[in-house]
Amino acid sequence: MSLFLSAAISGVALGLLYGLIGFAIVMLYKSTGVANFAQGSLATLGAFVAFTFVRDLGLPLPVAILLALVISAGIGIVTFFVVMRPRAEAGNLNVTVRTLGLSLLLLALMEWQWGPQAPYRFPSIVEGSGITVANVVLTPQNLLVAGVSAAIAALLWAFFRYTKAGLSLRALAEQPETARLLGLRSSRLGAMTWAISCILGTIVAVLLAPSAFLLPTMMDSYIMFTFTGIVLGGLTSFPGAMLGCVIVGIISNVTIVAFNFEMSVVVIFVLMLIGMLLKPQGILGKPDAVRL
Amino acid sequence: MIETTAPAVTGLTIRGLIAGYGKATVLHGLDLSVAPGEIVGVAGPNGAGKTTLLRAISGVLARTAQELSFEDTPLRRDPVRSAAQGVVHVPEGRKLFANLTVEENLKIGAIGGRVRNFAAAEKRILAMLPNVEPMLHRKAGLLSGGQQQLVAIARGLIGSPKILLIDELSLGLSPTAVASISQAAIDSCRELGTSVLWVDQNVTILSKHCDRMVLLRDGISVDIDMSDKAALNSVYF
Amino acid sequence: MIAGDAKSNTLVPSVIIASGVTLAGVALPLDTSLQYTLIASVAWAIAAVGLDLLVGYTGQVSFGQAAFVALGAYAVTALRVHLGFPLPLAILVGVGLVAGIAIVLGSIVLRLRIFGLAVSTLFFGYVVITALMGDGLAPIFGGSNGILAPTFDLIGTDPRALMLMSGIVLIIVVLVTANITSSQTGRALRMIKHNEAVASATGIKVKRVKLFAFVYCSVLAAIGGVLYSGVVGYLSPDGFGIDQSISIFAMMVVGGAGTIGGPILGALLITVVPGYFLRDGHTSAIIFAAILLVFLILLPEGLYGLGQRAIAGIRRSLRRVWPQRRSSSVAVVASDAEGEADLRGGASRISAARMELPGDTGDGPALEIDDIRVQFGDFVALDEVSIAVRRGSVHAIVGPNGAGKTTLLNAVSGLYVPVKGEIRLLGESTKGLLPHQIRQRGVIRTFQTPATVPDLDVLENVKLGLDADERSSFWIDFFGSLTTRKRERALEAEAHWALDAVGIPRSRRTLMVKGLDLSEQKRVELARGLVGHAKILLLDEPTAGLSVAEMDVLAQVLKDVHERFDLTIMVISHHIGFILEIADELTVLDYGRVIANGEPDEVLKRQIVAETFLGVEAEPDALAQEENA
Repeated sequence: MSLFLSAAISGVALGLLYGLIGFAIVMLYKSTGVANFAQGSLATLGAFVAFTFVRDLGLPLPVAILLALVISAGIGIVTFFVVMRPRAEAGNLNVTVRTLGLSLLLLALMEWQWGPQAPYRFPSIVEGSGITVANVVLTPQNLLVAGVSAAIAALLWAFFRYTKAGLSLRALAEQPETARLLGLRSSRLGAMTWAISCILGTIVAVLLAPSAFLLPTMMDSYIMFTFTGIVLGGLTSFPGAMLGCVIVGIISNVTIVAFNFEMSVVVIFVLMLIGMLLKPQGILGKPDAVRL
Repeated sequence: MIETTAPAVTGLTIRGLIAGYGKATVLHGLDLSVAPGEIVGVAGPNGAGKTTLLRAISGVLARTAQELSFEDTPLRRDPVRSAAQGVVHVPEGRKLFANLTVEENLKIGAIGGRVRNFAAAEKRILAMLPNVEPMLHRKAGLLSGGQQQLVAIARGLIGSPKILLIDELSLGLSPTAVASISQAAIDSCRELGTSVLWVDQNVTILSKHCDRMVLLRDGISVDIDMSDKAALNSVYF
Repeated sequence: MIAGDAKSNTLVPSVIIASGVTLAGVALPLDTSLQYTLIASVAWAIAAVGLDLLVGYTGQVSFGQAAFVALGAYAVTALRVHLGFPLPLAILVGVGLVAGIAIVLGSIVLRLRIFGLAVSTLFFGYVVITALMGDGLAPIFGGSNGILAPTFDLIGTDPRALMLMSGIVLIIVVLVTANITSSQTGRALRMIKHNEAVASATGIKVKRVKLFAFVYCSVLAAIGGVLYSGVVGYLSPDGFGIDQSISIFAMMVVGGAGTIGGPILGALLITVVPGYFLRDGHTSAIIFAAILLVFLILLPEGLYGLGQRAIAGIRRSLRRVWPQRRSSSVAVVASDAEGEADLRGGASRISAARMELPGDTGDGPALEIDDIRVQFGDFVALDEVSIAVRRGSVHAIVGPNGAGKTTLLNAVSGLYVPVKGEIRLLGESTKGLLPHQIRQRGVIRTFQTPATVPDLDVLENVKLGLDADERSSFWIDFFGSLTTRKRERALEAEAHWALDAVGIPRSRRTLMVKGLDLSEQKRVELARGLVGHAKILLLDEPTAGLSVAEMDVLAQVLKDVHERFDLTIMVISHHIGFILEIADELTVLDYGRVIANGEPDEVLKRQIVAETFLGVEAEPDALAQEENA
């Protein structure tokens, strides 16, 4: 029993991670109507950048990560201006498929540069054997993930609630046309959203890499589950996305422990279908006007 | 009060405006001007192009014109730029940010209007539109239509714009709400020296507050003599 | 644009492209490796064409196409290897199984928005590959080791024979797909892409048609998979993953979505260039992704569109060298005679059809709106609204903006459901009916912003109006070129009649609707409304944006049609002159309530109506006085 409980708890931690990626995706979707399928590759790229700083330049891990975050933000901004913004009037579907193309491009580039010797051991941020609470083992990694997720969620909440930029993004997400009409500079805000998205992604990748082993396709299955979590919880709802992702995290982890990985994929898929049958707009989603 | 001497700075000048949706042109070469501090009303039935006119001015719609300028500077097809130039559009149906509070809505107006000191701007707008104050911390989506319209006006005025484009203020409001909100809105604009281009179906309210009126018909504008009651009554017939 | 315009008249170019590829593969002296790559590209092309129908024509999305290809390939192979099925039977059963899976999956996921559709099809692909790779199903499918696929009997491994067979299948697929897209089903697909709510109001069974498109797309993928298994000799799950699904999508995008022939070009480019010319896996992957991005951003019309522009350019230069002689006068005369016959035929056909309408007996009102209330959350849009529309009358609805006029029309046509009260059509309640069912009862409506399909030309748009009355059948649209053609000609006769009635000249009837101005678009929409076998016509602001002259024309048309067919018409308009000319009865709405009802002249004279219109500040005493007077 405690095995399952343990699986469930680390499933929560996993779900929180998915949820963080999910935040980035929902934020982008709400402000721009674009579903970012490149989220995973961008995140993995960030992790590789950090890894290169550590391995080839010998920088201490925290510094490497910080630098990687800055570079990720830069990559996000460049992506916005080069890939997303030009001819954006081609429609939401077109722009969304661009993210798929971007994902493939990044994957190919990473394979080319780092593929041959993958997977790599990514240094862990924390070490130790963990604590035991009520027969369940909580590794330092779990605790770190939980801690970071909570901290980020709080930071994001404060950002959106109290800063001018956060307020502008909320307005832009709710009614982009009116926001522009009132003078909000949508390209600056768009670039900012992409930068934040990429930073979030890299944070997740860096937290995942020690246990998942760093390789170009590292985030692929995680992204799949994240998207499922978002669809389950409600595409346009931040709490919904987190809720959906945590549910997916728990159920997938428990199923993996009970059966195997393949089974978990099938179970989550069936779960998604059931969710769609019962509530197509998601648990916390609103049945409103179609954007995409 | 209508200014009879032409001031040194020009206001909104439009000549030969053509605009529409794809190939369906709605405005066929319209001329219109609004002098600084002037309150101009545009009447016309639905589909005549009133909203199209305002959207063309603020740059949301594609348009061509012989001249489309404000204070002698051409208005580009960029609503963000227009807003920064002092041309602020209060859209049809209010379009407040429903999940934001009233104060947050005002803040957005201030951000767009490049206001430096929000607290001061807020204080000034509340002095002119005191009815907004009790609503400051309520979510905008929960307000009544009339309350929303008042907040939309406040949001538009908080950046002290040079000209306010008001789209169908009376839409869906009760007659008493229309009366009180129009009064408050126009008084505030006069106090700020903001000129107004007000598009509305309600001929009577326009004739009460505007310095000058124009009828939008067949895609062009036709002047209306506001003193001719009979003419006003048969505007749509 | 992926969800941009689907093209018409792509049959001939597409057949040419398909035949060209076949010929090249069979006739040219290519080395074996290239030939096999070419055959593989044909298999992918078939899958891409299927995707095009779903995405380019119907506006949906699927990122699981490669999974369906895999399912087709694996199903047929497993049936042959483990159960010893002969090839034809294996194909039948295998493709049938895939269709079954598509029906189940489609019924669930098609109700989602595009994003949900994208994620669920992506995940579906992932699940299929995971299952195929897994040890659980390894005895049947070989797991990650793959499975040997036997060659096709009679063809064996001869590349030319394989190429010929694949090419023939491709050509047949193109013909069938083109037939569908230019048929009644094709019009329905495009309408759904444009606007599902309007599609439903026009009588299209949206869920059924979307499911058809999804299943067709998967069946074509399965066929591609069958061909692929015959070529490649050995199946492994690797080649059918998400990457490949995205590749197929890319083939459609790069080739040109909504063209049928385009995806074939895209398949060629994306399969042959990396597969044969660029051996290095990494470089080809990078180049592929870069090509996809470039086309998405800069060349959304794809190779097909580029080709069209090139050919148009060449034509123009040729014409400068050899100017065409004017031989059109003969053609004009001929088409005029044709036109006359059409007119007579069209009008009489409509009259005949109307005579046959069942249930149209009795003298009761054509439309009864009985004390309805429509609300959205807290907002009450209509309350205590009761209107009786007499049979054969023209009933006008007026009121200021936001009074609820369009809401009223939406309630009658089934797009909104009243929370209280009832609406009766010819005595029968419409409770619980979907928009397309109400349309079937003979309620036809137009929209304030003309709901014409931009992808289709004027004539096609008008024919849409008749589709609800014709018994639709996917099978007829599949095969019956003869049956389809006969039916289309009959529809055209009626369409031409209606276009004559609204005054759109013949020369403009083959233009794309998006090239018309507002008044013409409104008239096209009206023609579409006229041509359906309507009992009740609901017109939403047909006069908005029209000039006085155009309004006169419209009034004349409506009067003419009203007399000829004894139609009941309910019309919303702001233009009093227009209303006075055509309306028998007038209802005034304000704030969601009926404030006056009666003969137009009399109603318009009432003080309260003037106030509603002009917005006089209502003083409570004056209002009460008026009501008591």
